[in-house]
Amino acid sequence: MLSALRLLATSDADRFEALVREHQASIYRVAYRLCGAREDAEDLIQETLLEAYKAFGRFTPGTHFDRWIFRIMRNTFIDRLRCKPRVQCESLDSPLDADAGRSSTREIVDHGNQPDLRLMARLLDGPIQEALDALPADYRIVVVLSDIQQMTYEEISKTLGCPIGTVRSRLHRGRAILKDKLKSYARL
Amino acid sequence: MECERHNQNLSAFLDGRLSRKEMARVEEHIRGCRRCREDLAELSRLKQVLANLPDSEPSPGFWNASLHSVRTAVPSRRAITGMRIRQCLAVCAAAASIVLMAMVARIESPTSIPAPTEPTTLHADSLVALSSSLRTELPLADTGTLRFARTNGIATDWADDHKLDFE
Repeated sequence: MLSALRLLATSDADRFEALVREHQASIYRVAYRLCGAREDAEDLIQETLLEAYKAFGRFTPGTHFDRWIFRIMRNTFIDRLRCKPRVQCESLDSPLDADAGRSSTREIVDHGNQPDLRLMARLLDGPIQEALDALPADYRIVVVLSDIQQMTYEEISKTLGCPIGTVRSRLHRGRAILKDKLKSYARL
Repeated sequence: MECERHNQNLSAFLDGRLSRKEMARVEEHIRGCRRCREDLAELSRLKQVLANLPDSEPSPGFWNASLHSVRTAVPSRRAITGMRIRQCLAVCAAAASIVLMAMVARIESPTSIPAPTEPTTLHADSLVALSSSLRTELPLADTGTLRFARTNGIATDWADDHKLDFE
């Protein structure tokens, strides 16, 4: 239905809107996992859509709109990170309360050997997002596009404009860091 | 050392991105290496958990507001094209007005046509001398003047050029 909408749209604005609506779930998913918070994700999307619309004349109809917009989103995201003051990342391993000689650590939930995958994902959503937020931007983008958005190495390579070897090494390093950070939360 | 070398390939092995040779090497290694086997298992579960993360939703009305905001912030391409055409036409109209005004000014204040003067009587030799200096296209109507000029060596190129002979 949305493809038909696209055919019927006559102006650039209508075509742009139709394409955004067709991919809005993916656009929001990637933005949310890059930013870690709804408000930041919405800001990122707003800026991305503005840049994308200004550059819409350079988009070739019939090609992958989602990849094109993810590349703009990546550039916008990196630019925003450069402008933001550095935020101290809280270590997942650090004690929560260190005064008066008392300290407590985060509760670790062990869900057993074979937990339900969706349940595990829902319960680990917060810690996973925290771990993603702590990843270097380049690793975070590749992990999000590969493991959350389910893009192939080739698609990620074309989207980000980097060689497949770079995608492979960043993905491996990103996953390795996430794995280590999440080890104490549940037996992955 | 060997563990580190194979460990770097575990993600690509998991994603099926190694060549057959490389895959065979990794398989052989993990058969005999518990640490790498556990790492591979953890990577596999992490990948599955990431793929099953719940989707979050934006604020209600976010997409309508966002797209509306983009449309109003950036003029449409048609609007931009129309604006540019109007700007171009305005410039052309202004240039045409300037040219027209200049032409009108030139017609109303001609400087090339000399003002008519009162006719004066000139003697023939003065006329010949004047004609010679002016190199006028207007032939002398007076045949006597021409004869006089030729006799006295005054240049009569203008008459020769025009093959005029009043004799």
